[in-house]
Amino acid sequence: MKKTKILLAVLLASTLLFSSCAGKSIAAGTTSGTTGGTSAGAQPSSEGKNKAHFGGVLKAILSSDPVSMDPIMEGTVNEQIPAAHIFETALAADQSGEVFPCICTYEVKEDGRIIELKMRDKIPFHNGDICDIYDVEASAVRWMANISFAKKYVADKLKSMKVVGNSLVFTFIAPSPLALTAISAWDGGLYIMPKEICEKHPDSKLTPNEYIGTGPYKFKEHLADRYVLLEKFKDYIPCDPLATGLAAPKMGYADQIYFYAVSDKTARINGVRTGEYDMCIGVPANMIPTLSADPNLVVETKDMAIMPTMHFNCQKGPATDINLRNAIISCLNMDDLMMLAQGAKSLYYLNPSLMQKSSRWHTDESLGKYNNVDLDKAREYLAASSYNGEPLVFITTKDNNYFYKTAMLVADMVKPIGINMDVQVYDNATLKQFRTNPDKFDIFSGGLTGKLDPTLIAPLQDGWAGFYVSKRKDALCEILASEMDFNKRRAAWVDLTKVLYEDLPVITFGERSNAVVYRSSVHDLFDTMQQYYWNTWVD
Amino acid sequence: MVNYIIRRFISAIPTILIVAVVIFILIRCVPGNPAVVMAGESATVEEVKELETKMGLDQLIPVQFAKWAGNALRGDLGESIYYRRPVMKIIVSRLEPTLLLVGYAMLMAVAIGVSLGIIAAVNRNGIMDRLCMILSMIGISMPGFWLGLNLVILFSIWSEWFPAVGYVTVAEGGLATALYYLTLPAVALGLQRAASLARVTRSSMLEVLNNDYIRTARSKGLKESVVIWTHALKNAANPILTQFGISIAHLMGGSVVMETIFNIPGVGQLAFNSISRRDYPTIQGHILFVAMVYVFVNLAVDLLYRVFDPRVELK
Repeated sequence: MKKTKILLAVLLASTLLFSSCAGKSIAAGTTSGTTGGTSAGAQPSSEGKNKAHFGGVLKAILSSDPVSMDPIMEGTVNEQIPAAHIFETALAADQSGEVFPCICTYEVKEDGRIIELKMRDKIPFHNGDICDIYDVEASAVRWMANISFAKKYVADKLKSMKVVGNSLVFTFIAPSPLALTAISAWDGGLYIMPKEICEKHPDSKLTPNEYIGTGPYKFKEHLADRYVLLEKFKDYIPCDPLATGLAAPKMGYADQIYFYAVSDKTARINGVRTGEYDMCIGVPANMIPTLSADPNLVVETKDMAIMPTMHFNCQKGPATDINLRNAIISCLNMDDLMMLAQGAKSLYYLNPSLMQKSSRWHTDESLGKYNNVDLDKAREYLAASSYNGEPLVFITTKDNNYFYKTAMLVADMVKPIGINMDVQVYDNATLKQFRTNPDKFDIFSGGLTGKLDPTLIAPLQDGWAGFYVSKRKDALCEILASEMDFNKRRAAWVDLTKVLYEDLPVITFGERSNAVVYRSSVHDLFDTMQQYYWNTWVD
Repeated sequence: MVNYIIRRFISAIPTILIVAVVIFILIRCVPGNPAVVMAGESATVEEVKELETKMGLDQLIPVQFAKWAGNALRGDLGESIYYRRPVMKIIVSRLEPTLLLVGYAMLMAVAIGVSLGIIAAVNRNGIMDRLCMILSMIGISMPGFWLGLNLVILFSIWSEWFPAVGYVTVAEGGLATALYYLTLPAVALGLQRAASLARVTRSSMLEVLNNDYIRTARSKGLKESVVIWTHALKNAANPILTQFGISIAHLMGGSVVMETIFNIPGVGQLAFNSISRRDYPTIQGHILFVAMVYVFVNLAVDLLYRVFDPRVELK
């Protein structure tokens, strides 16, 4: 009997020992193997502390595995991030939306009727070929055929597009103020790739051996659901405009960048804490003190320009009544809503605009309706409305936690004046489908991302969920789409903002910031709403 | 025996067919389709409808089913809407971590569960018995995800013994590395199953230990270890085997959660992601795969009954 017990104890102990010992010996091997000598969690050396230097491996995170790295055919951020390291747009825009040279320089002529893209000298592709203007032309053809806003603001207004010497000349029927914005956009911009690849895939995706761009990193490997590996492109020639953000010179400090696909937020944070990954975006407020206390980690707040919103059904049901919508906004304390959504004061701004605070388009105009709680006024609006006490169906999701939290609080805030809300929680895919069906909702939760230009804001497009239509909106959008003078365009946008606050198809609560945690060995993380790592360096 | 195996495989066909039909209809009853997910945030209603037409999602469900079933009968589970690759290839490429995780967790469950069950039975109503049963109750009561997260805090963040996330394939780092990465999720999965195995082992052993042949064995002067391991455990094995089969099914299900928490690129994580992406062919392929695993495990368990108890007839 005693021997049996001893045997069992030995068996249990050996199982655990095997795992532990195997782990320790392997851990030593893999640390150097996977990080290329970068000691995770190492303190910056005194020499390298403030001076950017080349080398090392950066381990970034994507929230899901990218399907491909075709910057034209893929539209989500998880594809866009690695793709933007491999491919470059013809022009680039900074955080405010100002356009700068990248692969090409540019000139606007005849009041915006002609845009000339001129090729910079001897820019090499990753396969060693030199990029020429015919590659730009072929890329433009593929781009206009597959990107909806390129079709709308470039192709549909185009009289001709031809190569003249070392330039590609776009001639428009009428001035096209959005053409430069479209060309320089991070998501869906005019990304340049070799002509033969563009012609081989006019409307299909590139294959991995065709990820040949001119960017600071070249594609090395993609192991599905594990990682994408990019390697420094040694022949990369950065252009050097005096610009910031995405338009700034791309240095390509790290030798390699891994993009790990990690869908679970807790796994991402744990991975950064243990050194498996270098950084993670979207740290919950309640974890910030714990992570900040770790000397190997740095926690920072980044403006990612995401605006939590609620959208009304403007086609059918009680929410089509503008008085009801006015009654609702009169009940909303935006500070409380944003505090609940974000969990800390440092993680949000109050912002009445649908454009992010960092944009040159930002305006504080709200006709006095934003964050102006007045329950008496709300009752007056409600009395003037046709609302008869039926529950308003508010569809939301917990996939984006701030959607759910704000929906619950909105329902609570409107209760005192007698508005009932039936908050229905679905997964993200269901929410996306239901919001396209006017029979399924009165209100839905949304999150608008920052844009370079107001014309790109989704609720302003006819046929988008919510079904907002307005002749005044259309007239102002037309000015935005045709006027070349920025001041006139901005005035139109301010007017459009007023129209949006009069019609209230959407209520924005504020602007979210995100807490980012990264290893203290990592420096100069991006400071834009887009995530890029070519100017980030490691000790 | 061979005839029996063939008959069992043939009788599994209706099961698989029913699973295929039910899952095909069920996932299409769930709102939200792949076109909505893939069209992106800014897509208009018309753009979503165009994509639905392009993907054939606007066709009648019987038409879609006929196409899919025709291909499935030829061994073609279709192409993933998200990955644009054959579903079969995608599943096969993610099998390794899942099979290793389930196997590793099962090994732990059997080693711990059977041992605790035997100790408890041998010390019936004693301190060891109570201790083992308290441990098993704790094991059953702890949710796997909670245990997993606590193991990460204890053994990854505080003590840095094991990695918190990720996986290295056998081809890349060898079996030991792969198991090293899978240790914490395997413990989290295995402890729960160990608890139920311990309880079944205890009750089964108690029943056997009261039998005459055990008394006879003891009276013949056999060592207690021989009595327990050779005579008692073998005769108590069939209920344990049944629990073993059920445990494999539980572990396959539990791997979905563990693979997500520990970021292990297995079929469980694939299923989880495919559901949120509404990747119909991949979800169908995954469910069919799991159904086939169950059929196979059940068959293996039935065959093993005969190994442990020759009186069992395979009819």
